Amino acid sequence: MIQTEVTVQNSAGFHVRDASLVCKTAMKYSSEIRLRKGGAVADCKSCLDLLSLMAPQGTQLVLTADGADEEAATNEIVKLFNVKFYEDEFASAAPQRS
Amino acid sequence: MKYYHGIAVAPGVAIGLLSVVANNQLFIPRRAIDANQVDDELRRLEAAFERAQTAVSQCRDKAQEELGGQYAQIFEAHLLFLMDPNLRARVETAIQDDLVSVEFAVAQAFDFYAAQLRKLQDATYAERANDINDVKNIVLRELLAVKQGSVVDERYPVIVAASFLAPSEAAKLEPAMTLGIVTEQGGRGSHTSIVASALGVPTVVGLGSFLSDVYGACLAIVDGDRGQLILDPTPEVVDQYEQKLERQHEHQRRLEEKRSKNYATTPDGVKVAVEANIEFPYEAKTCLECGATGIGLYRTEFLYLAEKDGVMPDEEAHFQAYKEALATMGQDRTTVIRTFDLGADKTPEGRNFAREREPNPFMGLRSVRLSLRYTDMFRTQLRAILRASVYGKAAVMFPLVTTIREWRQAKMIFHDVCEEFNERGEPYDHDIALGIMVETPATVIMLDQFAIEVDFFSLGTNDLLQYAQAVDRSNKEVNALYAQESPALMRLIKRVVDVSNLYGKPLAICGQMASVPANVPLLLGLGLRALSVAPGMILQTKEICETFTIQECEEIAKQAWLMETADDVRIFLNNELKKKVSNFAYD
Repeated sequence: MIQTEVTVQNSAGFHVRDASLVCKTAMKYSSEIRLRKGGAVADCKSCLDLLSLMAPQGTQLVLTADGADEEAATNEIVKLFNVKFYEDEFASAAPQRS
Repeated sequence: MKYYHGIAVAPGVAIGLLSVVANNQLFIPRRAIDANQVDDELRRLEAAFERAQTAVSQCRDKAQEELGGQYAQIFEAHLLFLMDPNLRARVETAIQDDLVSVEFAVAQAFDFYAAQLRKLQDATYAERANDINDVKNIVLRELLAVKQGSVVDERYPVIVAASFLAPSEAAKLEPAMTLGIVTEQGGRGSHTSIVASALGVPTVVGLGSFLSDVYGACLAIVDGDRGQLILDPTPEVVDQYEQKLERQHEHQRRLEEKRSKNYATTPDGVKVAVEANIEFPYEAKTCLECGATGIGLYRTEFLYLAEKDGVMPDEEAHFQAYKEALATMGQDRTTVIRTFDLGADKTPEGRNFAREREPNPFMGLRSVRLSLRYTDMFRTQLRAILRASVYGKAAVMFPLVTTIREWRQAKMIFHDVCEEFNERGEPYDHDIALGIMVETPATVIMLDQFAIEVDFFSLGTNDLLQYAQAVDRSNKEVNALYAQESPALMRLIKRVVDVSNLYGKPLAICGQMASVPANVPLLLGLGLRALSVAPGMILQTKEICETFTIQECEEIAKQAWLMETADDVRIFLNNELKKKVSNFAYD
């Protein structure tokens, strides 16, 4: 089992878009993958579980992965947090209407 | 006549008849089942989820096609709700152990998660509970076989009124048949509001109870600028709003005119290039539609940050992206591709890229310094650019060049890659212009030496400002010093303009500064004739260029030049802009 800490860096905190990215990523792997905030634990393959975590910017979460592909899964999810779930690209891609 | 005040979500004015959406909440009573019915109920569950998935996928595809990828993501998340293993387990357990009907089990499971979100006592999360509710209702409608056709069914365009509109319902509205949207509930950040504003129709939400005052086909005015709904307006008020509407149309027509030309021309006949900054190749289409002179900055970092499983993007991935952008823009509009500007705050974590954490990444191994260190990666990108160059008019720009030596090394590698192509006889554009970003004070100071060798310059004011003021813009303690209107930045820009004019080298500005409307007259006054802005700002920027004569801009620059603080400059520039354009878009 791999356990590692991740930090929510997005300015708006961890939200639907981020939860769905984590969820879609987790579903590619066979390992059990969880995110923990204090006593609350979310199954990363459950988008609704993830949403219930409520993690504003700066929150530290503990990511655990357990299974055959735990290393790859951990790497990919840690990366999502580090690139702030592509927040910047997302913002700049939004159409702006005058 | 009655006024209601709510939250303005999408600007503009609409006058028309109201049509009330009948989307009452479905109430599901608890119904017990017999043990021998369990299998049947589970089969119904499976089938309903399958149909719901189809319905949500259709919604996603429609959003993707009509509104764009980031809106489709909302419904992508809804699909994930339907695939959620824990939710499904909850439903199945309730059917099997509690012996309740599938409808009740579904409602209960979704309500459980919605309640979790509401419990968080955070407005944004509470709004997401509406998304869960939306998906619940879709499943329930499938189970109860309640038909949900179009949200409104009218033969003429109407103002859509509802107590609450679900995101999936908002996405189903046809912009051509929807004059405006008004709802009793909802907040600014809800997905419904986000989708509604993407439709581009005037929208006001959170108006409070008003539906009980609506009778028959009620005439109404939606004022999406002020966040107002007026029911049953007097003829005078209608008149007043019709004039406002006419002004909006006039403004829209003027913008349309600007789409058809790829330059802006000042009232005294000076041509200004208005280019665009893009991140994704598909954005090129929008730029073309807005009549951009070209792509002034194509950021390529996303290719690296989106890479999968720690593997760097291969040449083919680069090539496909560049080809799409170049082919869209064509031969007459140059696309300036900036080689990867990684490091600092944008660091991919690939296997080929393992690096130690730097104590001071903004001063560290970033941008062209990385390219020169990891030349394989750099060559891969350059090869892809050369291959794609036959599809349009490419130019190549290196980021954060601070010494002549770096420029020469980068240029040498570029020519080396060209040589490979020559040897293989592979076609590429032999006239690709090579330029640098001007984004450090050192570069500005040494600009005359660069000017002899480069083909063009582009001012990156974001980094230039950061390095000139020695301020980290993400640091709350000091970021007040990070002001685009900094007098120091203004003086640096002036030197860059003067030197590039002296040597006859084309210069554009692609920093954030150019995307702020009030700064445009100042930049023109300082002598810039090419502005590269966010795609959404192209039309507005053109409009400002066509409002001020160069003489007026020079006068503005002259006055701003003597000001001591960024605040003074900002207030002055905003006032100058308001004097000229207060009558239409910026009130």
